[in-house]
Amino acid sequence: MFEALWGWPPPILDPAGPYAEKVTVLAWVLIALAVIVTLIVCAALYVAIKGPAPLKRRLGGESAIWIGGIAFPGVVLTALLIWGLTLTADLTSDITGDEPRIRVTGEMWWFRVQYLDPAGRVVMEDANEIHLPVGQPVVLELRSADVIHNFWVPHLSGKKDMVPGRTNLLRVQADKSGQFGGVCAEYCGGPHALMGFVAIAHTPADYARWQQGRMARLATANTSAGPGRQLFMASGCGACHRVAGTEANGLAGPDLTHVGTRATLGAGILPNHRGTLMGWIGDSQGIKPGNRMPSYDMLSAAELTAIARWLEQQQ
Amino acid sequence: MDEPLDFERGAPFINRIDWFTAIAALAVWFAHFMAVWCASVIWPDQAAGRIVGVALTIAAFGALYWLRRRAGKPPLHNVAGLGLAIAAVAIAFSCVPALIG
Amino acid sequence: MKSETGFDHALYDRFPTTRPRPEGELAELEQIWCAPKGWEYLKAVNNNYIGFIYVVTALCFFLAAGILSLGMRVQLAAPMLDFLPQDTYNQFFTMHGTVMMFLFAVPMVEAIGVMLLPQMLAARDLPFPRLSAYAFWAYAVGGGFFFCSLFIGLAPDGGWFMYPPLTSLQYSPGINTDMWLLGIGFIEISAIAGAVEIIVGVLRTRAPGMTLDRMPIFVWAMLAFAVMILIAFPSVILCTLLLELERAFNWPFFDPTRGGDPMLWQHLFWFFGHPEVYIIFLPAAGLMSMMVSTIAQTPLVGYRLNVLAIVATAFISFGVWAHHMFATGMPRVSTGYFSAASMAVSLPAGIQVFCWIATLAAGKLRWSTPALFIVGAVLIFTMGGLTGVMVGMVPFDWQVHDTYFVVAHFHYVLIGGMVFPVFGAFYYWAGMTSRKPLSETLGRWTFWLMFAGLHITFLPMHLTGFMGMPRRVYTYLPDRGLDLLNMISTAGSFVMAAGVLVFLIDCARNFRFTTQNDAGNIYNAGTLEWLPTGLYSTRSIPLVRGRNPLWEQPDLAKEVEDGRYFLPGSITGLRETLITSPINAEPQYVQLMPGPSPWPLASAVFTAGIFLALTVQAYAFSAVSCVFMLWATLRWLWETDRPIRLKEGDIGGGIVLPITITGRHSHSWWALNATLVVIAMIALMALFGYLYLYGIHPEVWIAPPALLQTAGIAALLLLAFGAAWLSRILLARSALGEFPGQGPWMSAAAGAVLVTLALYWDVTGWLGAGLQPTATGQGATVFALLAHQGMCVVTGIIMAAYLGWRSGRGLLTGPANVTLDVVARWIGYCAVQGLVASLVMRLFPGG
Repeated sequence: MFEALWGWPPPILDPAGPYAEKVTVLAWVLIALAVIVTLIVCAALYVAIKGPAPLKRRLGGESAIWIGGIAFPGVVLTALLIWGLTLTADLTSDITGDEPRIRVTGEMWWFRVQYLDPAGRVVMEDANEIHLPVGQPVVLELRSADVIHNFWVPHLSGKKDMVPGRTNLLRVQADKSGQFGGVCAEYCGGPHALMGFVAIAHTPADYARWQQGRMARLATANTSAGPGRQLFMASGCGACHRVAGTEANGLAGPDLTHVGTRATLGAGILPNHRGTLMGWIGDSQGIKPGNRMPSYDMLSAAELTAIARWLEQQQ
Repeated sequence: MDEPLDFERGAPFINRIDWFTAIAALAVWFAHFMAVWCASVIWPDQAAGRIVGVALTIAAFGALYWLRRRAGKPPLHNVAGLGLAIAAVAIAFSCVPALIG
Repeated sequence: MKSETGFDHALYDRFPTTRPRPEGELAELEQIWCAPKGWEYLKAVNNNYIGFIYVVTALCFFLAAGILSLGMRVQLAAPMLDFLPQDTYNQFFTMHGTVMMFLFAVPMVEAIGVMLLPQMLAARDLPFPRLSAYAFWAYAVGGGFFFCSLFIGLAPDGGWFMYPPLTSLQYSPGINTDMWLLGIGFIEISAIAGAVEIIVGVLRTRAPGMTLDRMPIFVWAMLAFAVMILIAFPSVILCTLLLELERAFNWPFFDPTRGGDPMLWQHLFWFFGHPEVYIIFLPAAGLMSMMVSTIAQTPLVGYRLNVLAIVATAFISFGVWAHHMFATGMPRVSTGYFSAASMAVSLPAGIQVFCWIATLAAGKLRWSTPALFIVGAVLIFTMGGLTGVMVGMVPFDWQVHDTYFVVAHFHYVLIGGMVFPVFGAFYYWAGMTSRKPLSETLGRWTFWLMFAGLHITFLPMHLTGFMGMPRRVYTYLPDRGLDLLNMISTAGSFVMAAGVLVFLIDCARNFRFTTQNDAGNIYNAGTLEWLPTGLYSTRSIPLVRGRNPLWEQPDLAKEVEDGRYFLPGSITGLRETLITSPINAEPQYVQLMPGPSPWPLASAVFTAGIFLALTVQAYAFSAVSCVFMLWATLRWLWETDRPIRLKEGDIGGGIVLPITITGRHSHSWWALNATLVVIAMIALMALFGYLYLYGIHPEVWIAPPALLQTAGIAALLLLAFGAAWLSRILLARSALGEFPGQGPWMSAAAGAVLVTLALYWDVTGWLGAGLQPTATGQGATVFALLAHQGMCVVTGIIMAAYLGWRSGRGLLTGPANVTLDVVARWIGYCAVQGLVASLVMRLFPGG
């Protein structure tokens, strides 16, 4: 499943929702135009250099410049401009207000995700993963906690910057279920290259089930137990990471309440299983140099296994 | 010594007014562009911004018309005429977003 | 032809003259323009030397930045490599972009201009040779030190456009960022100095009869290039200063928590950044136009369309800057305007491409290395321009922005639109400065390797971007479909490097620098730079009757060499050139040109010292450098503006003209005008910053000081303006050569004192009203404008003191004097700038 997030066909030409699909059509037309014009220029160059005399004469006057350099491009560019303006308006048409809202905040170098209720209050926290219902537009509130980041899931829509001091709104919609890869597309220093996320689209029924499951989980006390829990708290992980229902309530790092169900780790760069969990905790600096979590290389393999086992239970 | 080249038959443009007209026409484009952009930032996605944009476009075309009269209605193959034509096309492009989208 | 200045065109019929030239005239000319020996090369100011070493230095930076890109490509050849660790790669890509854009591209075309323009215009040199020397040395020293920051791991790593808040002190605490801000900010001084000189050179030193309509296209392109630099570069100078102020003194321009905005940087930077790429492209397009005409052996088709296309590109390129910001969340209609202008700006470029194709069709192409580079450039640039139209469409840009698609686009336009024409130009114009031409065989190898390498490297990147690979990543994950594409690009980069290597081998084997017996006009071009020249340029300055004088007048070369035209020798025994009118190139006066001098080099070295010391926070060293720089600059100026023995002279054919003049027609007046445009643009961009931040965060604005105080400051500034004006009037009262006493100087000095007082009052007034520069966006921008005014005022005080020194020595003689004109106009300008800035900030209804 992890491998299906990216790869062939190119995501920009493989839309999974209306916002991306309209742009894919535009992309194909632009590609075709570019190829045609390149061929025309090649042909013109060939005629100019080696062509028969009457053709060369036609090409060798000012009228060729007027037609080839002004009239033809003028018409094409006007048509493209009008299409581009109407498409832009279409893709950003007014938010009605009753779409599901998710606040995504870019941090160095991960994505903080907060699901909002219609009144704008945070009802669920997560990280590096967003869940959407198929067939419905979702509004993302994009913010930044530090520098300029960018949110981009090419299968679903174009990208938008996350600028500190402002909230940018982005509409996305998936028309088929699946997992789609996303990245930060604005250089944010350090391991910007390893800052990604996953967008997961569910059928409406599955989405409802997922939501209910999560809310139910948050409503009950966190009774997960084991040596991993004590190790987790004793190692100080709770100072940065929050796990709802426990004494761990740090806000500096990703929320780990639901980390067991997450598709990826390390902000979209590793598949999520026990091995990668252990590897990340033990040596995150080796995997993603410069990230804000220190490597816990003082923990033994047994301790890492225990913590990983406990984290797997956080669903 | 000073024969015009074949496609340049017509008044040789030795006057300052020809160069001034071409530069001024493009400067009108630039002023128009900055003004419509400022209007779109002061009234973001509001009708007032578009209305101001259209009004500015009319003013810009008026300025081009005045420049053309001042230069003695130069023909197209003259530098002044070419400059006015290019500026007119550029202003036309620049006003489309106020009308569409 | 109607006369522009009253010059009688019938006088042109006297040329070519028929009487034999006096003996020893040529020998005297050669002696006056003699070549330097040994250490004297460091003092050289002649464009033949400065231009050449400028080109070589720019080429060295190209090679250095190219090697960085090879390192980057090796790191990206396969996923998760560790050839360049993260921090190193981030420094590499930042330096690759920065060095290519600031230390190679603009300086290279400026250098080619320095080398070629005087020859194309048949002028003896550029109008301010020592200024070109200063500009070159500042660039070479500053650029060299800046590049060396890589070797100590302190190279900037924020990307070549250095967006805050990533580059603010909090997220970039090291001095790497300061290296960029201070280093690059200072190198821009060099580009601006060159631009001032090119404008005055192109408009005032053309050969008589070379009307604007007969100028070579490259000259037109350089004129547009220089004017664009004057308008665009102040924006980047300002924003680098603002970020440095924020980092050093905590003035919150870009900090949203205190009323600043990170987007302000982007607007200011891209207002410079987009015209910058056209600044790079237009001169190369000008070179293309000239080479196309020669290789097709026919005059350029659509000359006027081409000229208007260049001018239109120059204007319209200033209206597209925010197409780099489509994804930032701008209002939708705003994005539409920038998209429309981006569509519009490609029209003039298309006109130029079809001009070239039409010219090739109208003539008969003779294949040669330059011809290969021309045809290749047309194709590559067209492809790049088309992807440019694609990314100008907002919804498409939202998908490909900040991906490798954009990387592909701009490499195609930059390599096709600038690198290929420049390499073609190396082969084409090598015959002007080398005893042997470059090799046609090696040239073809160079071309085909570079052409193939370019496509192998960058064509796959369009697809790489579509596959979702973002820019500026030091590695990528496996199984994303990126492996093969990146490997191909890496292979291509080495093919391209091989082509450049072949070029270097060709130069090593064949290029032999000379100023006297060059290889000549091997491609049979028709423009004036191919006249037989020595260090004095042409023996006599020809009368131009058409666009391709060497084709239209086959005897021209011989006649020029025999001295049958203007200025066949030296009238005063000093270096001279002819100043002509801007539109019709009618002769106006003879300009005396300076000879070799060590002061520009000294001044450049100390200027570099100021900025580089600030970078490493060695403030004392910086202050000392500043003192030395001022001393070197004033020492340099001290030799200028001297009374001359001869007031007029015969420039040939019995035509008598003044020798140097003062006033609004003098070339120094024009140079000051150009400089004032730069200063005014900095102030204007700062005002834009003030208004922009108000628009974003009006809630932090406080009320201005009392209206009475504002009126008082305005009164002081008006008085200052009057005092400056009065100084010129007082001098005008005295007769030619008469010393009028200290009146004029003291009036100018009074003006300087008054603007200082007004500024002091302004600053204390704001502080008294409760505004602190560290507090809010308002504070930061108000004090930034006051600081800019302060820099101008301090310069005015130094100028007034210098003027006083000259006056004390009796060198300020009537009725007009260049030094007084410069100082008085500068102080008058300070008064006007201060007035506008103060009134806007104090009367703005925001508090």
